[in-house]
Amino acid sequence: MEQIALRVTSLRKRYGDVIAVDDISFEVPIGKVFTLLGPNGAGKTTTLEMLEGIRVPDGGEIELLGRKLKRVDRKAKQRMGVLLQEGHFEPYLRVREVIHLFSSFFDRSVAAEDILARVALQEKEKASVRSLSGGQRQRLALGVALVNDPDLIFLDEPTTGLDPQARRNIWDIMADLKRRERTLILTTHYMEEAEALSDDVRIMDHGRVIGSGSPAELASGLGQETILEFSAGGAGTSGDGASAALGSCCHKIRIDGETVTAHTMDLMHAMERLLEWSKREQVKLSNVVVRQPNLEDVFLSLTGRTLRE
Amino acid sequence: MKDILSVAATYVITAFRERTTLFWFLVFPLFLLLILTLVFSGMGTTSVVFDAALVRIEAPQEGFDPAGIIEQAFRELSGTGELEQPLFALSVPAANTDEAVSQIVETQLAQLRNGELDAVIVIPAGFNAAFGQRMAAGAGTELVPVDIEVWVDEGRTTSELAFDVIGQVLATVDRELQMAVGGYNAAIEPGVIFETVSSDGSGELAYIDFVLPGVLVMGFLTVGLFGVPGTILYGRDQGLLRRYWVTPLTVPRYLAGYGLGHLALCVIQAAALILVGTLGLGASVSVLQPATLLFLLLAVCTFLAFGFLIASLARTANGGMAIANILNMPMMFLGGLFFSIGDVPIALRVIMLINPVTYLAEGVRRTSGVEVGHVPWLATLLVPGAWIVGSILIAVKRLSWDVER
Repeated sequence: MEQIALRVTSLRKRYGDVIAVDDISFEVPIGKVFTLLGPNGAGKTTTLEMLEGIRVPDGGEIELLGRKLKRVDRKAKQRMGVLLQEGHFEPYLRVREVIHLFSSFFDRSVAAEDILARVALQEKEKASVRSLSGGQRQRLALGVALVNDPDLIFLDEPTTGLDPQARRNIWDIMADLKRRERTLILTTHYMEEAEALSDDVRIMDHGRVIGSGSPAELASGLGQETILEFSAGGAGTSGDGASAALGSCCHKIRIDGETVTAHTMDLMHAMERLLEWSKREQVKLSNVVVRQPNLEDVFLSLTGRTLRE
Repeated sequence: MKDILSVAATYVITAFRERTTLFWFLVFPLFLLLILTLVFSGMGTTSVVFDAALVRIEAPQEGFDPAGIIEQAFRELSGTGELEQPLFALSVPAANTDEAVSQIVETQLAQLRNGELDAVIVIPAGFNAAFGQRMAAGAGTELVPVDIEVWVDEGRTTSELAFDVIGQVLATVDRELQMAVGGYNAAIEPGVIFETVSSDGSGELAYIDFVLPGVLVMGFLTVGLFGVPGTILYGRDQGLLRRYWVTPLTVPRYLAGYGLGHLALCVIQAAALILVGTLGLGASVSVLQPATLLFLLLAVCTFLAFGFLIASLARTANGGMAIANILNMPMMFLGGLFFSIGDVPIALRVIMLINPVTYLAEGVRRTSGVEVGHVPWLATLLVPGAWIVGSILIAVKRLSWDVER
């Protein structure tokens, strides 16, 4: 039987009249990567903050590493690592000093050298926090989350605001943690991040879970449909024309400027009609992509909005 | 314990690396001490009048009466003659019988101890005869000492200064007397026995002696009231505290570590002020006595606790600074730090009586032998202690890692 690292039952949190988290439940087996995916304000961070012990739930139950808790306590925190969405460090401390400081808060700790190596900051160990780049600071934050060799690691939007290279570095570290069979709880609004790393995903919107499963399961929930994306250059109304041309063979069409995203169950028919329209109207097609649905499409399908709206 | 020590070390390290903190901890109090001393200490030096008592045990005699001449010299210097600027405020209590003599001397010494007098001059019985013998014997003869006792309060600047002036007066009178009888010998010095008493307190003193304990307490007040909530609330605004909160570090342990680091910085601050005050500016107060150090420690803890209290009540760093400013003025100026409060209106006296600074400043000065106020001894410990306990309890209960609780 699979051992459970985290089980959440009917978790609720309200701020005044706003319900931030509305009766959500899930469980995460040990060694898996679990992701809460959703747009800003969906309730992901509030959920995570209740699990991290920052906020007290209004209701529900948390079972964390075998202990049932109304709120996360000091003992539970000994086995947790947390990377906050916005967590700064003393700007005048040096990198190694930050690692030492946070190591001192835990009963067990990993050698500073090991942490620095794991987040590739050995050469910056004597640099002050304020001299680090955004990516280096985020790697330091991740290093701090690992100082106690945690069993359960919470990562709240770990790559938000980072450049592609810095994001890739963080992903590599997370992939390494996954290989070491650490349990990761991740929030993100980058669907490619969730797809690349997650074993299990909950899609959240307005404080509720609106979809669940592995990335593949969620995508397959859209059936046999295929996504056809293209740009219809030239006139500003080309997108609308293409939409009209595709008509009944596509059950969902989204136009964003010159870019058209069409969901179809009959790709061959849709392609024929698109090419006919292009030839007849002498519209130049570009960036034509045919792909399987991803989590972005799942979210769009569930809410009618994109993750970044 | 390692978590508390790490938080303390972090506080000290960052304070030394951050110039603003270093300025408030070290530069500002030193600058204030220098400015206050330079501006105010000169104001009283042009009109020093020493309160002295002259107890003449030797009875007056007809003819050659050296004791009478010495008494007259001091009377002249106390303004009974044509002197425009008197040097002494002299009292000459009558002493007739042996029993009365010892009682009078004791009374004068008691006044010296409590600061009412700066010096007590005692002309012993047989002084005239001994002085006459010495005049007759001349140079090179082994003589019976002709002593005049001068009692002063050691450690009190005006009292020590009075001794120097009295010594010069006696030397001058002695020389004049010898020349008058034609037997002047420069090798023969007047015998003056320097005696001291232990002060209990409240006499006049040099401004630096008054202001050094005040600046010490003020320094602790400034960094406690502004520095402590400033750094804690800034840390909260920046998400530093939130970062701590997701670890096993608890609020009491964080505050303990922070307090320990703050105490370390205050020790450095106090050491710098005492060093500059005593070696550079000539302060004579004994602030290194254990009892004084206890009160200085109590002052650090009180203002630290106030800082915690403000941090726990304010929502932002700016809000914390506003509360600190509101508290700072009455605490600093209605606590007798720089000037004696004296007779203050009843409304202000209420503030004064609940103000821990009143008790802390009183305690520091009393224990360093400077001043006797009207506050009971026990209150100097209990009132600041009550503020510390109350403030820390509220801070532990209320301090949050986030604005939203």
